[in-house]
Amino acid sequence: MLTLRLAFRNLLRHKSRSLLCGLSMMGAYVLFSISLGFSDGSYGGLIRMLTDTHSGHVQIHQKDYLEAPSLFRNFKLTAEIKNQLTAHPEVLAWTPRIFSAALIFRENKSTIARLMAIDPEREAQVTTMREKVQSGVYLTEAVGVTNPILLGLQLQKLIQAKLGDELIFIGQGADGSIANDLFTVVGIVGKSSTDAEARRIYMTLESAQEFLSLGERIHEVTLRLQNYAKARSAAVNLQEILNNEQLDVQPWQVVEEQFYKAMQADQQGNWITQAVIMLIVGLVVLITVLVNVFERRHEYGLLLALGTPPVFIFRSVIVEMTMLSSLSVFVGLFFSFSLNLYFSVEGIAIEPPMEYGGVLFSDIISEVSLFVLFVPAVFTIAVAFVVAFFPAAKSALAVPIEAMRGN
Amino acid sequence: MAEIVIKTKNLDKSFGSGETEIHALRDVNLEIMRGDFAAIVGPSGSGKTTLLNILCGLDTVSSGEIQVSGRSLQSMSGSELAKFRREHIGLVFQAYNLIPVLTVLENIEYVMLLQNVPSAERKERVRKFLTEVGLEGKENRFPAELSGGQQQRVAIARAMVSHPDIILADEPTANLDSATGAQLLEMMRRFNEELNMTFVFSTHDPQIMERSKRMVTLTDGRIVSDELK
Ligand SMILES: Nc1ncnc2c1ncn2[C@@H]1O[C@H](COP(=O)(O)OP(=O)(O)OP(=O)(O)O)[C@@H](O)[C@H]1O
Ligand SMILES: [Mg+2]
Repeated sequence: MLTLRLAFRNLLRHKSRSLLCGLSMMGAYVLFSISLGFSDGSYGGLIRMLTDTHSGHVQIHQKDYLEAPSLFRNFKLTAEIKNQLTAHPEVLAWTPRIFSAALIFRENKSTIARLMAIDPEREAQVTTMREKVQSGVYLTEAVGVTNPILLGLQLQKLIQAKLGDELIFIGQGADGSIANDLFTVVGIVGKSSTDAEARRIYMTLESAQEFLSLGERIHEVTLRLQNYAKARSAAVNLQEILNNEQLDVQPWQVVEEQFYKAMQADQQGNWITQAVIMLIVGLVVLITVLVNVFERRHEYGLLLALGTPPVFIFRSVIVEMTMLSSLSVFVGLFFSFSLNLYFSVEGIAIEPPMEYGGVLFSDIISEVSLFVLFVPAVFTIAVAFVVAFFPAAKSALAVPIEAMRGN
Repeated sequence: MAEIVIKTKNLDKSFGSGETEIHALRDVNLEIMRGDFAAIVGPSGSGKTTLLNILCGLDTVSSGEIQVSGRSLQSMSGSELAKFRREHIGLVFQAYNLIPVLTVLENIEYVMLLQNVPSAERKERVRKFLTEVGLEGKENRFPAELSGGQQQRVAIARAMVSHPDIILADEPTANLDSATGAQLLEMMRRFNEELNMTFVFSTHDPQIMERSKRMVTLTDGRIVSDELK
């Protein structure tokens, strides 16, 4: 109680100094929190974008597929696997996929295109595939059409195809034969020619299995989880459950390795900024405490002379600084909460947009979470606490007669 | 026969070493009895402050022995000394006596708080000594709102309040005008007579020396005379 009273009165004693020190701690806390908010918010947004539009949270392949994708590195999606996926509590939805490439012809135009075959119903539960259709219809609505396809915008421009046009595909079958068939354009996908889907052709799983002579085999199962943050643990868990050495279950961090690495490198840059902010807090606190302690050396001398235990003086210096930093953080909480909330709604546009491993990133947004508000709070208070140690010890170990003599 | 509160034997104290060595106290043998009201006098630099600092354990001796209330100070550790000062010695300095952020009441209460004296008793004792030093009604003032003489009176109240065996005061009146200084000393003398409180104080002021019951004169760190009046 006595310590608290002394600490509190001492804070009020030099109001402008305490205010200045408190304000800089508050400013640093708010900056730290916002920088964390933006980093979390933006990466969170990016991850959601990437996983929602294409990659899902976890993928299953034949064990060598990710290293070197190939038509032949496929597996059979057995009833057992389907049941295991459906029964898993963390799995929200799953969808099978096949990837290949083909030469496509329309009249005298031709090009090479990437093929992606999907189960239209399931795919729509895992990704935003249905929303990618810009004109025409999604695969499920193309009733009565044999071999319907969705054509990427860029390919469409290249071969000048219209909805309803028939295209000739030539490719390689899994049995070594030459594959060829006719496909009908039922929809156009991709907003701009830079979108990934603008360079793809989507078809149904059945058409692809027929065209590529794959039977019931596929290349990939993509999973959507309840919580994307659990991708790694869910992947490990699924690998165990499937108990099949031929299969490889990986989270989005591995599947989209390039993107993930770029993001991590960028996050490291943020930590440097945050460390610099904390360094400044440390310096301000150090200067304030040193000035206070120097000014009060007579007082500490007197307290010691009266028989005050040194620990008591040490504690009162630390308590004083911790009080100030806690108060600053408490007031700062209001600002960091409101600013992060504001920026989570109103992102800041970045010009020109940045690219992370193939994903474009044109807005940075913030996020409000306990992590974003409390980690910087704990850091700020901890830095003030630690920095006050040395001056506190110095005043506690002062020699009373010397402290009192000097004028 | 009166009880001995302080007893020193062949006290020597020097600062520094070699060429720059200063011999502040030489062969000091002193006995302070309960109920003494002793002035330590002597020219500037004669060792008065050094002696008082040693008597309360704020400074160490170079050689010799010192006992306060029957306990040898040399054998005590820093924290034992702090506890000893808290419980047995009242201190009054020339200046910087009060903690500026605490009120008069809190300043007087301070040592009792360290001693864990129960609240009711604390309040009771503070009230008693505030009245004794004539500062009733000023308990919620801060030191800066008091005159120099009032501040010294608070310091004496604080020194008295924990019932020490002895009060050591280093030039308690040096920062006061002579009338105020004389009043302060009058008050100390009253406590000495009415409450049998032992005082040892240093001074330069002949008027103050007049009012002491015993005068110890130091010159160059030696006791050159010790007279009872
Ligand atoms: N910490 C110290 N280091 C070195 N020398 C010191 C120290 N303290 C005191 N002295 C010296 O010891 C001698 C005695 O000093 P002291 O302060 O005890 O004298 P004093 O009688 O109290 O003088 P004054 O009347 O001026 O207060 C002086 O020569 C002083 O310079
Ligand atoms: Mg002196």
